[in-house]
Amino acid sequence: MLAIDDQDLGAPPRDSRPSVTLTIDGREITVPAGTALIRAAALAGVAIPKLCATDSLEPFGSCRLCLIEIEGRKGFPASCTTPAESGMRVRTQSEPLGKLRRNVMELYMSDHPLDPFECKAGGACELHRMADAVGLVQVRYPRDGENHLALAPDDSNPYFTFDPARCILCSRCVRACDDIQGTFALTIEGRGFASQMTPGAHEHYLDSECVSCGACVQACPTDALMEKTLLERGRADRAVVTTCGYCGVGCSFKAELRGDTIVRMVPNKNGLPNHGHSCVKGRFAWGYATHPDRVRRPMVRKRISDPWREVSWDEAFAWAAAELKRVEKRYGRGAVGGIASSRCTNEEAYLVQKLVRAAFGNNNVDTCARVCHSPTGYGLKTAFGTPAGTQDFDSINQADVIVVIGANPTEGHPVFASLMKRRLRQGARLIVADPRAIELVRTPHVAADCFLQLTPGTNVALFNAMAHVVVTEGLADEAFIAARCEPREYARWREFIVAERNSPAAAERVTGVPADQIRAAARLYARGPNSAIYYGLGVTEHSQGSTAVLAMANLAMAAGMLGRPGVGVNPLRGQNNVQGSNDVGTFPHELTGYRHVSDPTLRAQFEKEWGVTLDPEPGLRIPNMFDAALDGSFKGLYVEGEDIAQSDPNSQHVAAALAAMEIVIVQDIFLNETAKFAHVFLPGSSFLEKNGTFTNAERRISRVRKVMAPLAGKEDWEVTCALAEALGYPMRYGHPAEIMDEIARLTPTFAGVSYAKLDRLGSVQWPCNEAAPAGTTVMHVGEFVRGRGRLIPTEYVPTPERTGPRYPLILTTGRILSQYNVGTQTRRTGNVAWHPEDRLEIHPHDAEQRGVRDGDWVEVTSRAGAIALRATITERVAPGVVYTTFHHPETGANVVTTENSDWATNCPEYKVTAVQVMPTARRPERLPADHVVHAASS
Amino acid sequence: MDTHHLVTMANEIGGFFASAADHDEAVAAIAQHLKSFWEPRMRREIVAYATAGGADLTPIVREAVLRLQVSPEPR
Amino acid sequence: MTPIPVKIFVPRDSGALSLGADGVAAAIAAEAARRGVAIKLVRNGSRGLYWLEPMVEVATGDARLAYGPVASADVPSLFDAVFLSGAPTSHPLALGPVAEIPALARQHRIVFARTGATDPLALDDFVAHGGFRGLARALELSGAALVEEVTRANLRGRGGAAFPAGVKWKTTLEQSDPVKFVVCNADEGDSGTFADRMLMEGDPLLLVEGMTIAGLAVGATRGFIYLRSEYPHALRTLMAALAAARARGYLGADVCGSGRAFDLEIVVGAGAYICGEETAMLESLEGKRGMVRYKPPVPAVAGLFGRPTIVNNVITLASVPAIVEHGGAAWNQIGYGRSRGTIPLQLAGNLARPGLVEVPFGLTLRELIHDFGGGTRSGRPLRAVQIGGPLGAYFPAAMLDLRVDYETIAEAGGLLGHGGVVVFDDTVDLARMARYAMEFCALESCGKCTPCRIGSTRGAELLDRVIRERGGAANLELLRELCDTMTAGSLCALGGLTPMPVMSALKHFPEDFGLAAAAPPP
Repeated sequence: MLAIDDQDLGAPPRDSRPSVTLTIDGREITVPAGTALIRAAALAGVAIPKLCATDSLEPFGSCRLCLIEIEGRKGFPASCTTPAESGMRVRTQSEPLGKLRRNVMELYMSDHPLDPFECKAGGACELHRMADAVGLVQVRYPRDGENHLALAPDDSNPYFTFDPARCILCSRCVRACDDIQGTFALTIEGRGFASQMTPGAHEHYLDSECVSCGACVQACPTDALMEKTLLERGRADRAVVTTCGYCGVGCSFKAELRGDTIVRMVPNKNGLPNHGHSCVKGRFAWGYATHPDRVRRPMVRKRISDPWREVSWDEAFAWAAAELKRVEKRYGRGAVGGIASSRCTNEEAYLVQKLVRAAFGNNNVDTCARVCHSPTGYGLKTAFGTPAGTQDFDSINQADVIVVIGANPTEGHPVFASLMKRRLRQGARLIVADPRAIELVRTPHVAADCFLQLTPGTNVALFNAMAHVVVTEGLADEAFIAARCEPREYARWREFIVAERNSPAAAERVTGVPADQIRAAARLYARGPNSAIYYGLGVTEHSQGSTAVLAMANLAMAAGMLGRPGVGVNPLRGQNNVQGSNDVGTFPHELTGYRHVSDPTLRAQFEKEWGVTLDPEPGLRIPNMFDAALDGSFKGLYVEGEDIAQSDPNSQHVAAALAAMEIVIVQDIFLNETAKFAHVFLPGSSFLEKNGTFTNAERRISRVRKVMAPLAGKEDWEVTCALAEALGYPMRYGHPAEIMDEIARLTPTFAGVSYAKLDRLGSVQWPCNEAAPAGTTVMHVGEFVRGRGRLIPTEYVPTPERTGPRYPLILTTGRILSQYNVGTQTRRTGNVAWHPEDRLEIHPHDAEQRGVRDGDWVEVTSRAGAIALRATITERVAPGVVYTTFHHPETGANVVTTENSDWATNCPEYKVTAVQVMPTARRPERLPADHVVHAASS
Repeated sequence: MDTHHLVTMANEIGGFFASAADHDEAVAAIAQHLKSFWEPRMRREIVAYATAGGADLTPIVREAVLRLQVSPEPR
Repeated sequence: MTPIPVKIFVPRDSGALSLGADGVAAAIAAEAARRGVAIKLVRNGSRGLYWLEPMVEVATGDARLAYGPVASADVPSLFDAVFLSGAPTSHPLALGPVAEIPALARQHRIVFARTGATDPLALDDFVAHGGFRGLARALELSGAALVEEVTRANLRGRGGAAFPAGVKWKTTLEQSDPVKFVVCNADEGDSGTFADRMLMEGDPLLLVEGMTIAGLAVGATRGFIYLRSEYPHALRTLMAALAAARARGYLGADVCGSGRAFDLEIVVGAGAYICGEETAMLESLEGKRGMVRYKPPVPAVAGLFGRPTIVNNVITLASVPAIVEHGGAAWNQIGYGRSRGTIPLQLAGNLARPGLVEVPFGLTLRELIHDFGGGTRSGRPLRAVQIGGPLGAYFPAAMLDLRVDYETIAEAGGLLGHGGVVVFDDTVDLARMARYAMEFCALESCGKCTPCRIGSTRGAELLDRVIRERGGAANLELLRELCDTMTAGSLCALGGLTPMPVMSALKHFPEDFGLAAAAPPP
């Protein structure tokens, strides 16, 4: 049902071909040809009654309330299905129309509770609103006729109920599931009066293929589909527009509140990343924010073996500052550092790096992007000049060929996946490169044209071979290359790529992908006309992660697939603010806008703004910090919003490093694993409790608005400021808007960004400055940010992680829709109804050899350690490859992951671990949540 | 710092740049990468290792490391 | 010299089969064997004279003598009467030469000219009787010229809507999409109608020919026949016909060596009346639930799988070969008013001589019912006639002078539809028939639009009350409003036309609804 303030124009917009002018109730209106009359009327300020029509779905024509009269035509056409034509004269009100609408409404109400107070949707129920609008005063059909009033509700979904007695069969839910979400889980069963909406083949919602995205609930005009929180808490009286805190799609939401209590989160129709769509996490899984496990008071302790002691904020800050100063004095200025979070706002991430650089006096600041997309930063900056996705999400609507590499959008980036699936249903071709047959390979009305099931760790060989085909078969866009790329480097790269070792035949031996398939994919990609690459951590989290990013950039440049809508190289960012936290200077070697700290002019600018002298040398990266801690030269750490003890690989190494430190300050919303090693705990605030901005995977900066007061009394940025103040370096801001103003002053790509502009435009994509005041949707149009694009030879170097007799299988990892990363949030919500455990997927061949049956407990052993979980036998994985998700702490996937990392950025090689799998009687003891070291990535 | 780990990392960097056609360019690129991304104490340690022979460093990486100018430890 | 065996025709039409034709055929074969007589048994289509089925024909030379209705038990006596001689006999079942049977002689058979005369499975028989001549001419004409012939013929859709086929074809021809389809609507669901079935069982290659010409005309290379599941015999016959046409190069990648492609597939429905509605049929063909689509866009612009699609009824497409062979002008010369050509009317219900009557438009209902139909079978006075299937109007006996053409029937408040005519004697209760119309709609509604989905159920409930309470002003007022709502508000013709039988019954037979009898028309 509609969110507060959403106007529904009744039919979706049409692309402007010629426009037509017509009159509706005497009002003249000009609209694009093909616009439905109901929308034209709404734009002219004429509201036509409707139930089945809504502007998020194509017309359907079932309710027959929106009938109108057109001069010169007989009958009463439906305004939702009749396109506007030039010179039409439309009447929406007349005596016959009034009677017709009343009588149709009377039929509806003859099978619906009559009393509006019986309606759970209250004033939001469109059926009752329309009954009022058409002036229905009585229902003449007796109540003893056939009806559906006694049908039982389906409460199986944790978040919403379906009450078939309230269903008016408008099919909006079914259409939303099909057209918006692309899951096709719902259907109308039966015929005529016996028709009923049902998930699957008469299943309960929870047992069906429903992915709980909420599109059906959003589309329902009555109280048939209702959020349970709305039923429990009553209807909201106000709404706050904010940005989702889960993945890098960055959906815009309206938080609806009754008083200070959240009633529900509703996707924002005007939100550009999501256009009113949502997934199960953003839409429903926000209950963790008020979970009893939230820490509400600061705490300190002398030793990590001591119990925590709750203290006042002031005492906590004083304690932390004194300890940091003591450590600095004793071990040197380089002995302390900080870690910012991709979960926090841009402003907060900016303040953490400012704290480290200005108050700590070094560059030992890093962010959790280190363990996910740091290779993207290195690769795209090297090739194109800026480390960010080249397109906006909507660009995919103009793509003819879509390449998905090392990403699983339907699980990890579900709202973007829905957009992608819609484009695929419209006829775009699909290439999937993945060790595992992800859902996109075959899902209702979508199938990959090329599925390249490569061996984990061989991305670079695959991309090189594709580029080899493009170049050797004359498919390279020589005009683009000549105009846009460095000629000398292109020549050198060309010489490299045409070599036999980069041929599809050679790649087949390495990747396991048949050479013909590689050729077919390369040709499909190169011929486009518009081909777009979307990739995820399956590309970056490798020892050659940066090389792979460069190889994709090479391929895109060679085929001329950059610099216009429908093409590009696009990372799908895992966390809400991976892009933003990097943009605002949280890498140790870079100040805001990806500018190296060694640049004296740049430093001078920051030194003037901050009033300090800055260190010209790069600082320690996260893994380097651990090494330095064990070395004894790194002793103090401030960690905001990241659980390094859980999420970083080589768990014992991390634990030992943390234990070797003298002052660890953790700021988080839950007492996480890292807090076990902490001396000061500063309670953080969730995304619902603060003001700020997030920047999503398409470089879109969106406002995060405070929906409720911080549970512990302070927004995270206030905590960082107070810590700086205690250290003797005042950072005083009245509002995060002032922090953004400072970022804008210091950063050319952000120069035009301000909260006022964000409020006005909703969101902007950087670069946003004098040259692009409203932001930039597509980058590198005309020329690359760095001038000419660089094609760099990307030699395939096998990962040091090798299979052999002891560890013959390769373990790789991925995620599932309902859970988020290590599950800290989602396991504290109703999402536990799905995915109760992580399972090991194993091919029937490998299972047979080991005597493993479906559902058996197995032990997974690597040279780093062993874990136990249950097996699922499936051909989704190839022989020789096993796969697991990492959402449950019991799984402890990081016990087996190794210390291998990307050569350029030290991003861990989470995606390739040589393992052995054997049946075991061992079942892991059920450990308390967050109690086990665990794999993560963002 | 764990010298063995540093050597592995440095050699992997060398592995990438070694494919550049020109040896001098490759050496310069490796050195530049270390200068841009490695914190001084890491560079000091790898330089010390290389200066002392650097047996486990690949020749091109050793050459690059020896080109690094490292400032004295700040205090 | 072996004598040429005598040809004996026993229909394979499912109407004849239901009356025992298979038994008769077996009895004839057995009797011939017993007597050592060589015969050639041909299973032909039906002539459509159902009160005479099973009608056995004996051919010697050009003459064909008919006997009927024949029961298995009659077979020995037929042999005794030396009916194989080909000379007229005095057997009580003897009907004389087929062509001279009055009910047939008075017809003007063009579309059904071959039905009953030939073996529907024998392609050579089809060709020998003038088959594929329309196709031969079509292959010489451009698409535009073919469309022009159909336009000149003023051929209107025989499925019920009577939409000009030429307009539809022209629209599809003008679409630039390289992929187009021809779809034959063979979901003949109207109660009391059987023309499509008779044609598909009796002369299936005519339909193949008509669809191929349609494909050539608009540039479609694939066609689909959407056949109702209740027609298993038609399915078998069509499948054999398609196989034969393909084997002989009349269908396939190179139609008659022209270098042009056209092929056909049969898709069997799943028993939903609504799938006779063209857009619901397209949904069903696409593998979806049979739900009505809104228009525009019309299927001629965006039909099957969103491609430009001609959707025509069996009889419409079967009319095309004759039109192309002889020219649209010839077709246009016969008929009445704006209804041109012939129409196969189907007589059913309480009639002495039910069956198929192909005549030019324009005869009166009286001629049809009395001269062809022979009046009521019960011998009781005729009270009502329903024309145009379950959604057509009921007319009283006083209106039998109506001419049978689209406009006249429409002006009288009815519709000719697919040409079904069902006759009732004076025992009929029109209030119950009105209720049946609502019940039929409730049973067959796709459930998409509200007036049809809920209205039909409420209508049946309302009529139950009318019957129970012998009328009631409030009930009838609500019924009228409901009918107005369904007529004006429904998405498709099912909901939109259900009020027609209801309101016509109320208008012409008010006494059955507890009201005063209507004044006789002037």
